[in-house]
Amino acid sequence: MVLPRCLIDDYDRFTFRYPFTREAKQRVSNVVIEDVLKDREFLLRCLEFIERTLRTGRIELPSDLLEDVEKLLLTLYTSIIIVSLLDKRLWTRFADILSKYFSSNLESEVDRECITYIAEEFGIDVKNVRKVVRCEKLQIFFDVAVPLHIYLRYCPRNDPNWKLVNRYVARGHVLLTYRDLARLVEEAVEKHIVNMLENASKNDIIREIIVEQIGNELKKLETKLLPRTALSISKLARNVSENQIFPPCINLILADVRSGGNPSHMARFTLASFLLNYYVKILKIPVEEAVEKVVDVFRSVADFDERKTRYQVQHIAGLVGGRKFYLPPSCDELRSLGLCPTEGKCRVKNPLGYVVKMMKSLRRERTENRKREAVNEV
Amino acid sequence: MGIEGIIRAIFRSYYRNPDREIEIPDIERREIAYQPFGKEVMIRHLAFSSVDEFRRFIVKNTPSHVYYSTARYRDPGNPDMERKGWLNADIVFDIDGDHLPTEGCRLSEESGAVCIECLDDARHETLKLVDLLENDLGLSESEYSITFSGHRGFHVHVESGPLLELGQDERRELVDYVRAVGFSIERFLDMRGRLVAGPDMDGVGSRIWRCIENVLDERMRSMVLGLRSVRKYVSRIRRFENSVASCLAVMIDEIVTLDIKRLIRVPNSLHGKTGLIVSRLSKQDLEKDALHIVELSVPRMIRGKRMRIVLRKRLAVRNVLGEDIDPDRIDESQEVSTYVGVYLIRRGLADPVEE
Repeated sequence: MVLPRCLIDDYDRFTFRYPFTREAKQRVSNVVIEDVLKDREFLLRCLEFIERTLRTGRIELPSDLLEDVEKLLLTLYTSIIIVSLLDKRLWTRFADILSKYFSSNLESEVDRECITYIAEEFGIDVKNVRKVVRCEKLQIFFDVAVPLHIYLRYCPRNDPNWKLVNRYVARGHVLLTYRDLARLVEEAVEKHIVNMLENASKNDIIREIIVEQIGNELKKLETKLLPRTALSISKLARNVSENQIFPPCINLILADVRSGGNPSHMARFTLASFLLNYYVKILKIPVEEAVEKVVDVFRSVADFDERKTRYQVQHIAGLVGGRKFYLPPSCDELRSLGLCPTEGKCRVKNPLGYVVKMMKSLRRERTENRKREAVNEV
Repeated sequence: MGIEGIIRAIFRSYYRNPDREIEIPDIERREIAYQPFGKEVMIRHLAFSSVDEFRRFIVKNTPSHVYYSTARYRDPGNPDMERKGWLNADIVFDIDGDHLPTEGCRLSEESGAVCIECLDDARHETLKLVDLLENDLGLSESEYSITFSGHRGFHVHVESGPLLELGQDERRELVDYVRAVGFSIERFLDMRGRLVAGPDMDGVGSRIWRCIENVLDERMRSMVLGLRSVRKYVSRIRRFENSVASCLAVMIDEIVTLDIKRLIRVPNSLHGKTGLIVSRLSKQDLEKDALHIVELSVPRMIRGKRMRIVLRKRLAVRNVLGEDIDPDRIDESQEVSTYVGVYLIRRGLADPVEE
């Protein structure tokens, strides 16, 4: 492939702006990562960088990094390794912020060849729009064409602007402007960073070295950064009635089950997987106990068979068979199955998200009530 | 020999010498399942190393229904779905008369017997899908295949190419595209507010143009399709958005396309509940008419033959699979083509009359 001007003219600038490219990685390929990870001072500076980045939601580079590309790259790569040891909820946030840094640079790139070059490096096959469509109007309006399957792999979800139905699709390609392409690259870079996090998290040697150097600081940082909702929600959930916080779809299936109905296979699977996840992940009940609670719920169905039900619930809980703890179907799937009574109006992606949303709103309500009571007392 | 035995004999004879060869691409990677005659059970997780081996199996076992997985697996015979090792899955679109809001299909649904009008509605919808596959998705005729489902609809399979790798989330986007869910006409306006669509445009632009021509009244049509900016009329255009979206939409059964581990009828096998061949069709077959497709799908050995039946109940349709019957005659027997007789018997709507 022909190298673009942005790379040939200024290698430093290129690797500074696009830190996860092959070229940037090559730049520090002679560094032995284990040596870097043994430098406690450097690791602490990376921790500061991680904290600042996750708190502010953007990358603020200290002056020493602005002047030293290799140091910047090592800081970014080492930070990814460190974040891989933190709670997974922080991964996507971190990857999202890093990928935004990357794409904001790409969007402001004057050299269009540069955008195409980088897109291809991240697996996005880009064609000039003229090679795909003959219509002049389309050639003026769009710059590039990306194969449909690649577009579907990287297009941002839950954004009407990026829904395939609202994109110009022709001859197996989606037609895009360069600006759109840069946004698509952002998603590809985010996925790439999550992969880096995934791979780093599997490396026990790295984990050992980092924990030995900054184990305590790492724990503190995680406690500081993690949202405190998980614990408090589990406490709160124990004190409210379930139908108050369960989504309408689940309440409907539950009502059917309790009235001795005969719900469909998918409705049963939805209920069982939802309740198991609710008991185990939100109420923090041991999985074996949760299975028994779910089996009890099904006792009232018309064709109850305890042995079969227990086996199936255990299967969903990952205790037998494929050893996979199933999530309930997503709201989209429930809509397709005709099991969503609100036609997607709950504004969550999964029935479990509804519980978290309701718990948060209940908590807010309670805090406000408490405040109001305090004011009244004064 | 009772009617069940006769129908079974027809099936066995068909599988010994089928009208069209039974083909399953990449059979060694597919799970095969079948339902034996007279049993309501499905025997699953079978695997075959070649189509010949599979053909020998169905001759020996004479299935009432036979299916293969749209997915390819590393170990297709493994009974544990998690250990089958999913590799990829065909993209399958299912267009079924019972999903179409037409009068013919409503009556067919009501009576349980499909009339030729409903099958023709499904055929038109499938042609709409084929147009989308070719123009928008860029597939050539050799990259997809069309099958008559053996009852009241059609399956369109995409069996090769990069789309096979799509996961469920990505397939949902594709399904929403085909069904035009979330379509917003505003997103097809250029910087100057002019519609990016035209009769000769590649891809979706020509379909949008045709739909606007069909749906909008004369005044709105000339305004939207003209060269002027329509941005300031967006709120007015939005009122027509749903009609344009309905025109763009192809009524596929979304669950079938979304399911990446689905079992689907084997092309050129027999449909156990109708006795018709699940015929592989060419685009030209589809372009003819529904009657042509029924004719193609009647097994050779019963073609042109007739039998007597008695209806179990009155039917809401007079025309069953292209043949007129007396839908109200429930006390007396009537003579029908054997394929219509077998169809009505297998659907539980009629009993044979022994002569």
